[in-house]
Amino acid sequence: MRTFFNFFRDAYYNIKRNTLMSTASIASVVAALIIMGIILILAINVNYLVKQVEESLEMKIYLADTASEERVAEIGQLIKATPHVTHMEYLSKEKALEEFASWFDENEDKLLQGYAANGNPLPRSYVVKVDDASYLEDIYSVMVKQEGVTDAVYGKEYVDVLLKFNRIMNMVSFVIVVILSLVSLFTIYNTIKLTIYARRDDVDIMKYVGASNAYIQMPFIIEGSVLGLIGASVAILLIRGVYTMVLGMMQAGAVLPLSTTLAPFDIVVHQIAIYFLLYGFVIGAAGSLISVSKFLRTSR
Amino acid sequence: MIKFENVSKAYDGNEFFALKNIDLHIEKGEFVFLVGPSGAGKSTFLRLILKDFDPTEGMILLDEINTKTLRKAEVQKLRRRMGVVFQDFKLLEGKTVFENVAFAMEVLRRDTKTIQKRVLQVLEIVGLDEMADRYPMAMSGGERQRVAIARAIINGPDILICDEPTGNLDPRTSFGIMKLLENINKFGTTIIMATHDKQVVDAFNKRVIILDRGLVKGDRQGGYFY
Repeated sequence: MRTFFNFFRDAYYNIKRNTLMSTASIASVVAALIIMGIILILAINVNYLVKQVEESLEMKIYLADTASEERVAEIGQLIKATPHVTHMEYLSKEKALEEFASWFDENEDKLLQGYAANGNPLPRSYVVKVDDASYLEDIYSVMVKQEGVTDAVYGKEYVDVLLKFNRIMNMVSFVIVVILSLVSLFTIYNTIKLTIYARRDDVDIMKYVGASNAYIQMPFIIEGSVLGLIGASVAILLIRGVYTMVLGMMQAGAVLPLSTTLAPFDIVVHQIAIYFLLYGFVIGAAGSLISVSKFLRTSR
Repeated sequence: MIKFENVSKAYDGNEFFALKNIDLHIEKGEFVFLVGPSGAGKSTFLRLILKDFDPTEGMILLDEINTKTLRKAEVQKLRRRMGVVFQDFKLLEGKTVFENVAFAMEVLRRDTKTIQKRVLQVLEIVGLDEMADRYPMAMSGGERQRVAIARAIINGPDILICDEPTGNLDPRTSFGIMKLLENINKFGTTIIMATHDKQVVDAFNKRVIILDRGLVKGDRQGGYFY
């Protein structure tokens, strides 16, 4: 316990002693994480957008006028039994007309009165919702082949574009994250290298009294992790500030397609904070470990 | 206790041998001076005993164990049997005298009570019991070297390696340090001391190994210099 406390005390003094390099390391982690944060926020929002669009997406399965009531009921049963279908609603000819009429204002509404009197041309249909938009295509191909079904429609192009964008986004984020991680790792590696040189005597003494490698490495690893965690915390605070501001601006005026909104801050901050802290910790610890191990290898 | 069997050492990528065909034996409890001009191979000799590196040829036996065959954990164990004193003291300036000495025990995870007791004992042995709370910066060269010696003997080593311990000290202070080392040796610690200090070697009647350009030029008992 006492030893562990000493490790932290040493790490604290080292960070204080090498203010310049420590600040450079923190800044590097902050910079990397802010860029990563922007990408992550975009990715989270694209996912959020896709989810919202998915939830609002529905398929309309149009039924032939010639189809018997029994056949219509059978098709209804088939839809209900289809996996991923979360909601199904039958739309009669009258209901379809009513819905169509609701798109017009009061005067224009009268235009449609003739339809009701002289035979309603709108077909019966089933409105279907699914839990995952990527299954719409499969359901579509099954349904259009059914006897008594004339056609089925859903926002195919819209879903495809979103899913494609999401995939590209994930790929680009991955590449940028890897590059930035290497940059942060290298900066922390160099900071710890300088710290070790500044504390060469400590290391020599530890080495010559027979301290284990783990004992010698520990304070440096703690120092690196602390630098990484500080960097991550600063980045989280900065991103929080900026995101709250953008969210406010969005609510004040700008509009996104399909009345979607940006992901609420809670969702974003929880996802990002955990990743960031973990990232800072791992990069810091790894950078230090590589640096101090190399030093011990070459000096023994 | 320490046997050099036909030991040669060339540093990586260097055809020049820092030590060549060394054959000698140091007994337990001996006090040995290692003398010779700069570049003679004195530091290489000491670093081989510390297993900072292995010989290029031949072998070093410590209590009949070939140091080349030791694994990392065994090297650490070996070093716990040794103490090292450097010419430039290598004290931690941010720590007090007490903390500097205690550090060598903390590293080995000794408990606080034992550390407290043992450090005060050792500080008394080296004559610094009144200065436990001082910082090295506020001390003379001789006092600093005493702190370094205290740190080197705190874990009760079998072997004390001293690399020019009087190199930065005036003759009177050097004499005091030598008296201290002689006392430590009387308690059974083997001491191997590299030095340039003719006066010191002449004043103490010990075994003297003379090195020159990596070769042993003399190995005799008595207070004389090369």
